[in-house]
Amino acid sequence: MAIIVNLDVMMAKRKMSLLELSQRIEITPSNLSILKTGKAKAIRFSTLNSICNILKCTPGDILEFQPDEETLKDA
Amino acid sequence: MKMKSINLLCVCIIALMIVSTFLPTTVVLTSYLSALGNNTGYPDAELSNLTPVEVSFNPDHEELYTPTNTLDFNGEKLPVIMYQGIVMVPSSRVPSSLIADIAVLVLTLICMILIIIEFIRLIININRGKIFESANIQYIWRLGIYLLISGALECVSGIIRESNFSSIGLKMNHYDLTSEWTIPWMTFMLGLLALLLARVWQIAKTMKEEQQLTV
Repeated sequence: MAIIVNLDVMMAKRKMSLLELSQRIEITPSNLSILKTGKAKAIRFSTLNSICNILKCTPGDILEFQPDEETLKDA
Repeated sequence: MKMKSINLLCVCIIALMIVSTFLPTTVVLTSYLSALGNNTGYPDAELSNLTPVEVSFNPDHEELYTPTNTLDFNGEKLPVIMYQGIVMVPSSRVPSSLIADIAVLVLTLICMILIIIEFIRLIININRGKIFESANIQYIWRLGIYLLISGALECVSGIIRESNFSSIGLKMNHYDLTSEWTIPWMTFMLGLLALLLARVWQIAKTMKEEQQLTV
């Protein structure tokens, strides 16, 4: 997939652990781990809103678009 | 509560499957095995007590009929009501066709047992909360295949029977009996429905996985 999740970078900048962030945004650590490792298929706006609120960042800081071969072929 | 009603429905379906499979198969197998043993299945003593009714055979119309629908008894005309008949198997019948028919019946029985097993496995998984799983898709797919096979076996059995029994229609007033077989359309339709359901279940499983990976 061409969307890269830079959640771990933001978490390191804000010095926040996975467990702490999951507790503050009220989702399970396993779900947050799915997002962090890039295995997630979709993210709800409400979850993105909570993450940006806690980490004091914008969606662009967490999500990055890097077109891969598959995406270039589709285009 | 939902699981209770699902389980109740499943128990009813399984009971119907067992009754519809084993009852007629047992009756047919018993009569065939009696025929193999050259036994009419009817005690001779009882046979001698039966009063034969004179019937005529009209080869042009392939009908068995009584000259009149009354019987003379001590000068009194009594109505003839046929409630039971005995079909005597022709002596020229080839035993191998009987064996073939029994073999096909046994295979059909095995198919029905496999259908019941797959259905029970599916229900056990659903009871455990595993609904949209690969195993369930396999069970439903196999259920469909077995249903189609059993329908095909029913056709084969009908063809074997028809090639050995002459299809004489027994006709009397308000009474009709024939040995003709029909294609088991319902069995084929159920088989195809099960295959379709397996495909839909697969789509549902994919959607469930996507939902699980939605944060």
